[in-house]
Amino acid sequence: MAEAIPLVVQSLFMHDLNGREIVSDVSIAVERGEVLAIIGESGSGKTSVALSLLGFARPGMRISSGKIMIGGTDILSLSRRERRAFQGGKVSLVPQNPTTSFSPRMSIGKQMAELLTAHGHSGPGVKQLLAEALRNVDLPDDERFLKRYPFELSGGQLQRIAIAMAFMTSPQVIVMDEPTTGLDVSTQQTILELIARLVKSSNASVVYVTHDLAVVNVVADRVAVMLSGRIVEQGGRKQVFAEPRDDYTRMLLDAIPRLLTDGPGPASGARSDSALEIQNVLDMKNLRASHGHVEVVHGISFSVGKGECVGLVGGSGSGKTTTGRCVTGLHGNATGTLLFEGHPMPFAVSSRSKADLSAMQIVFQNPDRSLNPKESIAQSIARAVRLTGMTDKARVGAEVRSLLDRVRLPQRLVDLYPADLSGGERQRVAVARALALKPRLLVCDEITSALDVSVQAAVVELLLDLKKDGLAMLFITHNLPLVSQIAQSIIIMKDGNIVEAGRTNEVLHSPQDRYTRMLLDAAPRLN
Amino acid sequence: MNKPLLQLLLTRIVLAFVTLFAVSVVVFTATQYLPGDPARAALGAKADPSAVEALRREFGMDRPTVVQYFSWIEGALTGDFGRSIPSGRPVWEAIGPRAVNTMVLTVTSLLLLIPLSFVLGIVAAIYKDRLADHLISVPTIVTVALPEFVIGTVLIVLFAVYLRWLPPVSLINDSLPLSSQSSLFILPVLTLLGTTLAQVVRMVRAVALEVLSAEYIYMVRLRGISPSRVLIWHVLPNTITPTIQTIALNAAWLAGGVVVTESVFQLPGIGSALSDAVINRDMPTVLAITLIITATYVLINLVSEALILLLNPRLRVARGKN
Repeated sequence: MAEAIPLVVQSLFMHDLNGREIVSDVSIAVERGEVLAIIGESGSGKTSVALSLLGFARPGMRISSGKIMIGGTDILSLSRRERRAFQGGKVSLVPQNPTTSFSPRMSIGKQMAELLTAHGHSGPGVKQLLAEALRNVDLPDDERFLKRYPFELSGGQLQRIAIAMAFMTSPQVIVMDEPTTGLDVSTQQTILELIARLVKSSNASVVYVTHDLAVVNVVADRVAVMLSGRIVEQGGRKQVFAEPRDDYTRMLLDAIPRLLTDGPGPASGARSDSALEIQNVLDMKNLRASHGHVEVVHGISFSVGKGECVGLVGGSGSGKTTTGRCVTGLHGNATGTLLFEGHPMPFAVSSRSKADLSAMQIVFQNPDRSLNPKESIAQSIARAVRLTGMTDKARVGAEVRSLLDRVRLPQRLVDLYPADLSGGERQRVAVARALALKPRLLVCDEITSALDVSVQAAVVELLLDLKKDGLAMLFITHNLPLVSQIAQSIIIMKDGNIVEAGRTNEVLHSPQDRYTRMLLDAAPRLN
Repeated sequence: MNKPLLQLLLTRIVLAFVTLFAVSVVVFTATQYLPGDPARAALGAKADPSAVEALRREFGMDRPTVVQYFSWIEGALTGDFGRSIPSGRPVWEAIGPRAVNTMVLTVTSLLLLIPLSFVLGIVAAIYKDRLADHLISVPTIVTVALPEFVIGTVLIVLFAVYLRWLPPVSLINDSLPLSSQSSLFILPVLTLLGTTLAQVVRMVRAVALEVLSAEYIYMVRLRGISPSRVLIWHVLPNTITPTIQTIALNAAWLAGGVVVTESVFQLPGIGSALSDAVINRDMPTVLAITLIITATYVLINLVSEALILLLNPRLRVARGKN
């Protein structure tokens, strides 16, 4: 019977304004207290489906047909006014990015109270519910806390509040749209535990959208895999993970980086500990870096050898990104000794020679922001090629093509613009552009974290190839499983200090530091 | 109010006085070097040199410049701007009623400008690229491209000549109460609105569009909050702050730039008083009016900065994290 099941979606279709089909014939049903995970890569339509459960379509998109039954009522057949009673009341949403999801000029207490008032609560009951909701997510419930503005709280705290609000009205259905993607590994872990606990106690039906299969393994009862707007496979979590029926699901599962605690990444070969000094591309001694007057990196030392990849791992605020920026000269407010191939180099980019600058390149986290949207791929890479002194048009063109080959991008992309490319393709263009200057050290700052798993796997493979060619790499990330596949040695940073460093397999196999163990435990994994 | 905010505000106020002082020095020096002798301008080209000299002495113009400046600024600080050279009457007596006329004109325009531009800008943003947006955007863009004398003339032709609803000129009679002559202000106010409204509406529309597409607005809507509440409590507060600067710019423009509008309608205001005074080399009047206009400018900027500071929760709260 339909009434018994809180959420039933029947053959949902969504189109964009150009008539392109975004979601095709999606049908799902979620029982009370059950968590259905919708997984898929960006552009698969998973978020569109999630938002449609609140009767909402993002601008430029519309729900064309289908039924969305919440507790037996098709919310698509309701008037806007009637639908508002469902939104936030009977079906609620936990957003992806907590920091941009709160009204910036209203205290969080008022925003929470506003939700309760809109759904029929009034008087002293509101205060009680607020306090209870905050206690449920382990936050303080005093007046002082309620008077805080969103900017005064961390991402993790805001996500707790968002979760508290999603459960506060006792909805039948709760939609979670990548609720942990924007958070630190360790915060992610506690938020996942919190969600699992609240789901159990509330008995609500939960739809959990994510691209992170390891997270699915922690929270989901059942899994629906989406590809280009369709559900290609749906079933119990164990069944989907253990014996996937669909090729795409198998591909996704294979692409996930696994924590390799037994074997290291391919060794660089001729690296003996005694012959270090000459072979090192980068030697950093006693690096101290500050933002304004606040020191954020407190005297760390490390080195990167030729053909070696060093993983620099830490949560946000650990100083890992600042360290990478110091190496490449983007952060001049630093002291210490930086030896590049044995000779000292200043920290400020303005005091480095052109040759030194091209010898070290950095690739940033988000290719959307590091590529000029008004430049074609060819222009983008050619500009970097010309910096090497090459001026002949034909030779520059040939170099651009060979660089595209090197990052395994098809030649047809040369005349396209960043907007025409996928996230993974864009990141490979960014890598190609960095390689154009023939660097001997490449700093990669979280270059895969904005990418889907399958794309991520391709980028990692590319980096492994480059490493084989002798390129030294400093690989900055918060993703331990990823680093275990690519780095020979690993540096764990916390609060501006190195807490542990050593061979990857040793660090991951027998971590000495408490923080390292915590990171290892926090890394979600399959099985 | 907390300490850092108070400090910020106090700094701004001190800076405002420094600005005023600097402007007074610059304007005073400039009038000293203006070609033409005020005394000779007052008495005529063929006047007896000894009479000119006597007039110069009477107005203290024979003293060193620095002494003249300090005696002038001392008077100005106590509200005494000296006497007008051609008439010999106190400056304030001559420009007082005109300043009131100008103030009524600009303040009325401003009081209409602010609510009108928010309503029109937000409506245009909500109905982006639809009929309501075009109905608001097209006329405002057209009027911003027209200088105020064109708008004024068109309004005169339409309402005074053709429809005969309103008088073509705004000759205000000082001896009658202003409230009985309010119809004389309608066309000048419309002209000023026509030149300022577009800019503010465009700004409000742009900011509101950004706010309306912000994630937090979707989140608030998806919590089932009613559209009117979303608009008043979430869209509006986040639209106001970025727009204050534009409104202040236009308000300052209104304060200084009414000259043309006043002359189109022959409205006896501070702008026409200034141009008369320059022609007559009536330096005390020129100084007084320039200082009043500058003070208004500075005050408007001070108020807008104070508002931006007060409306920013980051500065208002400033209690630090945990």
